[in-house]
Amino acid sequence: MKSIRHHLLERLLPGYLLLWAAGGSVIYFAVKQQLDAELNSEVRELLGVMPYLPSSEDDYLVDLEDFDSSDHGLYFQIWTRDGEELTKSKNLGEKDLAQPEIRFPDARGEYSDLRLGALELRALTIGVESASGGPIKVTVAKSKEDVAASMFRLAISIVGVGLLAGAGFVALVVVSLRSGLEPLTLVGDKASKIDSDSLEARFAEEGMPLELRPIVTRLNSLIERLEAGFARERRFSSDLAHELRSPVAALRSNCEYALKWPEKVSKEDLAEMLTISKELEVMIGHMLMLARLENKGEQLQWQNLDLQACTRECWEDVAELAKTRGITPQFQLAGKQSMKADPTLLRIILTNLFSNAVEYAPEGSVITIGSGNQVEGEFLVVSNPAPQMAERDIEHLFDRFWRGDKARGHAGHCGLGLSLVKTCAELMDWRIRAQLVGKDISFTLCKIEGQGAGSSLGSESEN
Amino acid sequence: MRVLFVEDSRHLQKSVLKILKASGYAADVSGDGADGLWMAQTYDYDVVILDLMLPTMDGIQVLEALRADGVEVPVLILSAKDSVTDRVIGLRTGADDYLIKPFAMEELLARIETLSRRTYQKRQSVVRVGDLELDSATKTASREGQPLELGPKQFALLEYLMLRRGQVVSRSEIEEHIYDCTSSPMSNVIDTAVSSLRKAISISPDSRPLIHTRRGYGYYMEESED
Repeated sequence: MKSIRHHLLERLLPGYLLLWAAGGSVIYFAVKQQLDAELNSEVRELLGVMPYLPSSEDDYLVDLEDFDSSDHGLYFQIWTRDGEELTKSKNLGEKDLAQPEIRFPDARGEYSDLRLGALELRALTIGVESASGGPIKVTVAKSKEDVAASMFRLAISIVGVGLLAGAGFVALVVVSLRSGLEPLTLVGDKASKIDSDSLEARFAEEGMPLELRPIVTRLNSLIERLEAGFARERRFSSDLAHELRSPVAALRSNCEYALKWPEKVSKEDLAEMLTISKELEVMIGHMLMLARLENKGEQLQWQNLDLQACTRECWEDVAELAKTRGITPQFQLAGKQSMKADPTLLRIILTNLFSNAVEYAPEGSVITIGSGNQVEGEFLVVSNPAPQMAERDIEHLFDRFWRGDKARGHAGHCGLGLSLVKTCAELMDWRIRAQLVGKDISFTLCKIEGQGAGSSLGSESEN
Repeated sequence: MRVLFVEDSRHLQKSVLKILKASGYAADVSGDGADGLWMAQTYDYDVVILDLMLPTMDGIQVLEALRADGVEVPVLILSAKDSVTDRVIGLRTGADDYLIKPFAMEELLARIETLSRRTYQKRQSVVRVGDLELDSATKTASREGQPLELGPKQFALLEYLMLRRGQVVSRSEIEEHIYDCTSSPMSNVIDTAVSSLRKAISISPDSRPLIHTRRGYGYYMEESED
């Protein structure tokens, strides 16, 4: 994969070369045109000193003697109209200039490029009446060496300057990109070092370019969520491992005991192993339910339910145990209330609250199931005596695997019930609150003001 | 050997108690820290097995209180906490060993034996008095190379007497180390047990008596000279 720097260089460098070639060509041809025009003008001026032509009074930059040697690169040759040579410059020696075809009379003449051996000449040929009468054809020529040399120097200059400017441009682009992309490089470097063990790392937003700031903010928020998720998972795994160790140790000890002393194994020992297995099963079931609930989200099945009927139905699940322990329910729900809820989640909430109350309330006590303060959004309050509960325990009641001191060895409970209740309530945009009033503990379910349309209470059943 | 197991999980209490008793230990259990501390301070245990996460007082607090009270009983921490920090804290607070749950029964028993040997300053599991040899690791005893048939209580009594070879062991000491809280041995039970043990280790009419009585004090074990 190419870097941004590489990618930009690949685009910018050909662009620069194209611009440089176009600019260089324009300059080259403009100068060439200018030099050609100047050469033409110089060649025309040579006519002023030609024999057979009427002389003018102008001062010329050249004399006829300048045509004697080849040093000045000036040549001329004069013919009659029929092509008979009348005279030519001495520096032509035995050579002749090519005789261009022209119209007569043609005082303006025509420019042409001639070759004299290896020499390139710019020539002007005119057809006029000679000073002594009779039509003559005059060709004056000048070497193009100076122009060619100038053009060569210009071409070299254009190429040289272009190459230097190109190198400078590349260096500038590289430095600018490096400096401009530095924040992005820093973000990239830091991001590449982040793994599950370094999720506490955050990207500095201060000094970050405006273009990158939203990305950095989002990344920080994402890492924060990831960190919280990882911490939650680690805590859960650790709690889970810890909670599983004791029952697994008990199960293993029982098995090893049975293998070593088979003659001593009784039915009670086997029943004990079965109980431990069942408790592990309950724990695993609760954990799976929590995992499923946390992914449930949008898949809630909202229905209008009769709260009164639901509570009585769920109480039936614990009625037998309540009877055994001499516990009686006192239903104080206000009339027939209909509410919008997911029936499965509501059942989990009610069953766990009731089972908790029945198992932990002292024998012979009364469990009250009321409506609470409906003005404040409360719709269900379950309270029971809890003499062993302390105020400091309240904040931990909904923590996973938390169990009060006295409840630690309580068979059949793994400390996930109230955590399940809280998860279910939150999924339906409800809030559950635990409160210690005297020696009684109460769990209050209420709607969260302004959140979600899921929870609503009505006076009549719509179901 | 008498062991105290302080653990809040009822299932684990039951299973470890069965194992300890089947291995010949007198074992008591406690389900919370404060009660466990009281028992460890009150009775003379050979080893205390201590969980860390306990109701009322955690294991570290129990251990601190025990050591502050001058109780030198060997303590084996048996916990689900498996981090190095937890182990270091436990050992530095005064524990003699640390075992993580879940554990292998044989490992637990081996560690208890090692700790109890430490109490009697023995490095090997084999103890000898004359031609009588006892291996606390394999729970076997032999005399003149001939294996002896001993019940768990007899084995525990013989082991205790052999470990305290040359010392007079009182009836109450035997009672404390061989019987747990739930047993209530009557006054002559110890004498009966010792008498029964004497018969069990006597493999022939020519076998020299090894368990001797010091009237008014108790029993001691020593190879008689004649």
